[in-house]
Amino acid sequence: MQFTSLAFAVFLPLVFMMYWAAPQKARMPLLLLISYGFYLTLSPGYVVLLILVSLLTYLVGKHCNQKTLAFGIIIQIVILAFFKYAGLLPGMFQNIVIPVGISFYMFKSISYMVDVYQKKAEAEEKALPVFLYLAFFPDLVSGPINRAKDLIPQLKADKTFDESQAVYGMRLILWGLFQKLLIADTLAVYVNRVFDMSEAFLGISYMIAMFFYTIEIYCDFAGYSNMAIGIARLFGITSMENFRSPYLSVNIQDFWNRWHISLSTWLKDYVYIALGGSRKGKVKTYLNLLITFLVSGIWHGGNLTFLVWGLLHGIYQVIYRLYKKCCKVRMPKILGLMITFLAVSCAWVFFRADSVMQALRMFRYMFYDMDLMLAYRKLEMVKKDLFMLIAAIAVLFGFDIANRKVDVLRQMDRLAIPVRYAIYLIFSIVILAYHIHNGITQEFIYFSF
Amino acid sequence: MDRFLFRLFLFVFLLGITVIPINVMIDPYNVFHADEIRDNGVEPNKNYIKTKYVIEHQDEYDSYLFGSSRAGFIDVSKLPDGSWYNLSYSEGVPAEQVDTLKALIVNGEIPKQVYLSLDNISYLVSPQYHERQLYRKAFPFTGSLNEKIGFFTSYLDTITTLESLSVIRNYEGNTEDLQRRMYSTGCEDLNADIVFDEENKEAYWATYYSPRVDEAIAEIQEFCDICTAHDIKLTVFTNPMYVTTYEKSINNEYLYFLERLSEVTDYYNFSGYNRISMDDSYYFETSHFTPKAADIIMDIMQNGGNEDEIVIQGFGAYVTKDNVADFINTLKFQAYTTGALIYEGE
Repeated sequence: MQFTSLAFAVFLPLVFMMYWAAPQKARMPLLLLISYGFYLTLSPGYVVLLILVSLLTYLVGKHCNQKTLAFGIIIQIVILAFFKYAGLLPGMFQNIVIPVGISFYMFKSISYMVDVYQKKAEAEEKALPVFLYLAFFPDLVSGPINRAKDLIPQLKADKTFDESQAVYGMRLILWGLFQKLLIADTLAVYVNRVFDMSEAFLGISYMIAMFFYTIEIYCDFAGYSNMAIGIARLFGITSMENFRSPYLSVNIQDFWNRWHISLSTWLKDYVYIALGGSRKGKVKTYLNLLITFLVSGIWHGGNLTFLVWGLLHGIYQVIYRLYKKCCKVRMPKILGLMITFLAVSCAWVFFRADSVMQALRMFRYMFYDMDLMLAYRKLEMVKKDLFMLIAAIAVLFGFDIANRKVDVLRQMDRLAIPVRYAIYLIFSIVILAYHIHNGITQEFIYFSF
Repeated sequence: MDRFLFRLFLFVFLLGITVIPINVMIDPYNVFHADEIRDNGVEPNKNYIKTKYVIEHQDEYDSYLFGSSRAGFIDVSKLPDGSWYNLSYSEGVPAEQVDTLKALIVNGEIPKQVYLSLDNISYLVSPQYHERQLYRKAFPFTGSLNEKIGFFTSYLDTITTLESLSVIRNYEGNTEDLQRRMYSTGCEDLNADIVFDEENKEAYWATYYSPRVDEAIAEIQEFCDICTAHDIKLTVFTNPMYVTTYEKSINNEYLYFLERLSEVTDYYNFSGYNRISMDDSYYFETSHFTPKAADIIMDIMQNGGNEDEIVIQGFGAYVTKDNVADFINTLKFQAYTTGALIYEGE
């Protein structure tokens, strides 16, 4: 049951009403049941694994010392590695199905255990908050990877219904649907056409696919995150921000402060800093950066393309640090933005490609044929799709630019009610019309991680 | 909370009344008007409409003709020994025909006899391609509630509905005639006054055609197995394809399809180079044969025909596992002689 499915549109209002109608004491167990029910629709065979990981997390937190922590972390990494990489080996594990959300709830589990050990978070006396922390359905499948010290107190707290929070949550959901259904799913049609049969294309088609994928993955993942955060708000929970206008970054360091924030901060806190961070000299710092981004690549999967993607970002970070150190001339922001956008786009080609060879081939022939009209015909682009995409992407970037200064969704409170409803209605009609018209239901990209 | 819920439901209501009525009222594919189909210039989803009709009128029919729109001009009212309905529709393919047969059976309608018409479309078109074509989208008669809701939701396609207005507004249809045919025999307009365009003899071919012989044969096998399991008298035949369409098909695995077909069922063949397929007067265009040609093929299947010359050409040959090799050789020989196939030795 994905967030964009009809079944979820029926599920969410029902569980929302059940939650707020329930007495305070019953809300946590109810939310846990709802979360397991939600997970059952996605990965029915692996609910038991989620429960066992939750139990392990709780017990390690309750009896936390160096040995139990090491045990807990190693077990988690072994299980995660098994599911993510066993399929690459020939033999009986080739058809192994990765449990939905495993990368995300395992990382939450590790962060809880480490935070308890480092006394950054309190070990929970009762199991329920820990179980709910890991299974909380809005962020269970693809994040954000909320920290225990932020989420558990909210889950435990007595709450009264806050209409302004709920309205803000609905706006986030609508914005997420706009990003996912209108932009990401439409772009995916053309991106898939090129990547699935890349040898049938050349030149500018590759360039178009690269930039389309750059926008697609942003809208897909940020769209999902916004929906997850919005859904959490409906239950009175403030989830951490996951994307903050990343394509307006002026350098690669800035980019990683804005892209998949919950993962990048997790990697910084539990990998980069654990390795020593920037405290052990320049060379060690650069090595730690490379290792951290390699881990990020590996986290996405066993395919070599993810490793190359991670390594590229590590190299970008090192180059940027060297540039900052050596070059006294400040780069104009617009140039920094363009270089960052281009560097990130190039790395996405490896992320999306089936193989490193495919990605390299695309770069090799990217400037071979620059006939835009031919590319338009080969991609079988539809005029109304093109106009809609141009308009939607303009709205997307306009929103991102404005959102850097003010919280645009919060500012909507200042508009008159009829104007607000007109905006909601227009967005909803356009999203619905294009979603049904294209008949496309693309699975969320980060579902498979 | 109550205020929030009220505003939310009000919003959903406003959204609903903006989207639903316009799509249901205009309904270019007649899915919401299946019981009162209108001739509006847009090809209706006949797969859904016809199947729904016969399920709801089981007592009126006991025998069915399955096929693509090419079989639409076969006058089933002339077929003996049963009360016939023509279930053909645009680009009907075996996988969908299996689903339709299953839908009939699950709804208590076990046919007494069935004719299954096949041609190049049967193995060149993937059923998945139809899932995105609103006039060919199959209704999941034996599917889940979710699938059924999904089917109707896809017709709330406001963009397509509004685009269809340019056709609907300028079209003068004959709703009475369409309803009479759909709700009696299911046949196309047998009195259609369409003259073959001598300037356009190119093969009827779509860009998405792609041979999938093995998958199609498996689907036909399933159809045959269902008929056997329910004691349904099954007659399979290949349509008389117009000669240029036939020539293009034999260069795209059509003879392989015919050979494989004999492994799952005996069948009557009407394709090839013969007096019918090479005579424009038996065709509306390079895809659809006329009721005159349909009468001939039905006569042969019912009575064995009485023109030896046609049988010698392969037209009306009854193909089995035992004679398929000779039959294919006959068709190959014809093709080598005309140059449609290049002889490459054995």
